[in-house]
Amino acid sequence: MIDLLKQEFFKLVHQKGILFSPLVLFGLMLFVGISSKHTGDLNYYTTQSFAGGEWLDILLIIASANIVTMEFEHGTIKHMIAQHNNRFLIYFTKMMVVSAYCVVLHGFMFIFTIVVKYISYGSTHPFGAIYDNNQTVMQNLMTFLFSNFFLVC
Amino acid sequence: MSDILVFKNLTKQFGKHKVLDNLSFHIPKGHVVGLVGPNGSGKSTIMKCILGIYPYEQGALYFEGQKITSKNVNQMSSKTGALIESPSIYPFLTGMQHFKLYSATKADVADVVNLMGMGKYINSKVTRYSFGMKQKLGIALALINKPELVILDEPMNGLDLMATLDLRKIIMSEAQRGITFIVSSHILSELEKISDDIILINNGKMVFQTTMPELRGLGQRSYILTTNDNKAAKKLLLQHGFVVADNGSSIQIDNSARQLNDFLTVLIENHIELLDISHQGMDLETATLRYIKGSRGVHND
Repeated sequence: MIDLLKQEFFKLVHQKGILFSPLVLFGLMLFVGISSKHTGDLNYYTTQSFAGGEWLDILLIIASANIVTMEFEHGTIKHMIAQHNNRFLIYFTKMMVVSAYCVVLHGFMFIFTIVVKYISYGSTHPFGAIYDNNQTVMQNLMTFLFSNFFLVC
Repeated sequence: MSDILVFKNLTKQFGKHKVLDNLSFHIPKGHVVGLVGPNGSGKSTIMKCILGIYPYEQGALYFEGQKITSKNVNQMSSKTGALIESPSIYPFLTGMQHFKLYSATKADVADVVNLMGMGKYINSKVTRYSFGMKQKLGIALALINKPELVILDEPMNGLDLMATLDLRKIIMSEAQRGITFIVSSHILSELEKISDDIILINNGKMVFQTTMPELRGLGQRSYILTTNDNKAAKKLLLQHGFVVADNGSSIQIDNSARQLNDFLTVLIENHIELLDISHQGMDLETATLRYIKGSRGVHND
């Protein structure tokens, strides 16, 4: 299984689409951040990671679909089955790799939220300001990130 | 010589359709075995059963004397390299990255790259490879982890003359080192040059398994003879009880009883001048056509 995991990670990090998807996520979050400037509740956008959760879901669906279908598209599934003789293990390791990728994307999403917030709103609407549930914007953001993480990953 | 692989009454079905029907054959260790048969005869299914891609319903498969089941199929597949239908390669990786992906050691990679003559393009992305280059990479990947058995399904597809020649040399040199090859190809002339044994499959059943010398020997049952007077020669031989037939500008003599000396003596003693004599060669193509037509007739009956 370790061999299989190593192979899956190797394939994942060598795919341009996978490597560029954090940049796509950043671009989409920045678009939401800038376009939300003149709306009312700006803290809401910050605590929702500038719709990063939704964008991340879409990117993850694309990545997980691709990670399975590419094996059939390139005919490499035969080699994988012949090498490991366990279809469930192949599928399971692929899902593990997608989960790991999901963790990494959530990390990026957190960093991008901070960056986009400063680019879009400057120092107004600080992370320490009290917002929903008598918690700070940062605490609300963390709650969103963790709930999205457990929901998606 | 011991057998590396033995099929015993193996049956594989897809629904009600029997793709392999009670198939039995053996693969001698260190031999190059040509798997021949028309499209849909079950060649690829045999290969996929060996690799554990397809399970089988009945019969048994033995690898190095050990019965292979779904629980220990790893013991066989870990010692097997394969190129099935098309090379298993990812377009976003370079040739070298493929070897890294399959955890090959640097020394093994250097050996295989050198053997296949892939040094010039091994660090390029696979998307830049021609079809022949991809085919070579697929074969290199089949050879990389020092397998004991290599399965090549249509390896000559898309290869130019030089690449085919290189592949032939590689298969023959690796076979001399003790690696066993099962090669399926529709390019029968090429298969004939590399194979020690031939297995002919039709409709999931084995038509025959034979060695190449035996196959060629089948053709030595008749001779083509050209004389200065074919009519007289034919008449004379018929009078002496030989089975003779016209064959254009020559005559064909059945030699299944191995009477070459006898009929030559008859001709020479009767002052008939021999201009040319040759045995009718049985090549793989002729044998395949003859036996497949024969087995179709049997099947239809």
